[in-house]
Amino acid sequence: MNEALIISNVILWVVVVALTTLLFAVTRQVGILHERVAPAGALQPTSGPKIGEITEEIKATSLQGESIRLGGSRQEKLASFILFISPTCPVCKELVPTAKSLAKAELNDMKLFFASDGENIEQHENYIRDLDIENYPYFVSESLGMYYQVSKLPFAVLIDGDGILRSKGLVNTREHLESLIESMTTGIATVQEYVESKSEPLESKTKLSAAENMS
Amino acid sequence: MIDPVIQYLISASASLLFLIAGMHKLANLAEFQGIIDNYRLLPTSLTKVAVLLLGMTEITLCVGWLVTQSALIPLLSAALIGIYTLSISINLFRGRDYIDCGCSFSKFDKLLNQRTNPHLSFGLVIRNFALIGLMLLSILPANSRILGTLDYLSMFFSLLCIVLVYAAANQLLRNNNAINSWRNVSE
Repeated sequence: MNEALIISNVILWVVVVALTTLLFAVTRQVGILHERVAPAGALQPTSGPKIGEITEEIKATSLQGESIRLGGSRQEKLASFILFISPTCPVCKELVPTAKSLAKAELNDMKLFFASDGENIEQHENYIRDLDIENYPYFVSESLGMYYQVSKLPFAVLIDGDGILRSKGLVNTREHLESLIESMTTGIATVQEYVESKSEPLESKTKLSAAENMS
Repeated sequence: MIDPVIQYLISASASLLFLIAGMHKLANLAEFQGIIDNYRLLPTSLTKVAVLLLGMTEITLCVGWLVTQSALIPLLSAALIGIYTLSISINLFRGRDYIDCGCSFSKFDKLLNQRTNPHLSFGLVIRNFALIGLMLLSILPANSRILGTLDYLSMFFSLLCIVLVYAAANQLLRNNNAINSWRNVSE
């Protein structure tokens, strides 16, 4: 009896040590994943209105019947976040819930709009019902897409309360969407610009210390 | 009354923790000065003395846990961790949760290829309270019992598991930092 207990105890210890090792390995792997996922921003096209420019005012009527003016130099409290989607684009369908949850989190800073293009109004109405976005203004407007030069979907545009274009780009993931909002709050247009601004002071510091060593 | 195995286990774990922490502080004086500066609790002129003092105290505690069974060592250890916890809480309250907590062991970080420093978080406060609780547990009187081979075996494996679980918990705190750097949204 005693012998059996000793053996079972040893076996249990071996198993517990193995499990804790595995637990540590798993947490470490999650950590490595976090470290390796480099920041990626939305792909920004060069055509269309430039970041920092005052946008042209565009009047549009949403499918819900609201008449809304987008852009233009008017003082408004909330920024406008326009997401261009289409019933024929599969990625859009996945991104809409993300955009909704993001809009909910940034409720006090921005308002979410959806924009699309196409003849078949009934298809759009079904699409709105499918995605459960009845509470957000949905425009079917060719001029909106033309003005912002939307060539690929899903595409997002962020206009601040003063009507200035803060960021825009092709968005495929939550990270891309967040990068647009991040660029508005920090005033940095792209990830590339951020990396440059980070490395500059570092370089000047090393130069300084090199100069100190020389003297 | 607690079993002597548990008491020895707590002593050994605490000793190991203070050994690594103290060595780490004394070996990286300049780095720790910066970390303590960041806590903004002491004037800059005092931080160098503070790092030396903390490092020496930790090494003393490390030896103390091994050589004596006096209640003074657990109480001092709890007080030291209490000071750390208070400093963390003050900075969390100030909203300075982005500073390096100084609780990573950079030698091991290099070994594991860690590149980020753990920040302050509420999880650290909970972890420290758990440490204080465990250390104070060893003050309880132990019943005398003759230890056999199996007891030493248990102690060895338990210590191994404690180190791994401690490392895993710290890694989880780091991961949580990374997750929290996203815009906080519940789906």
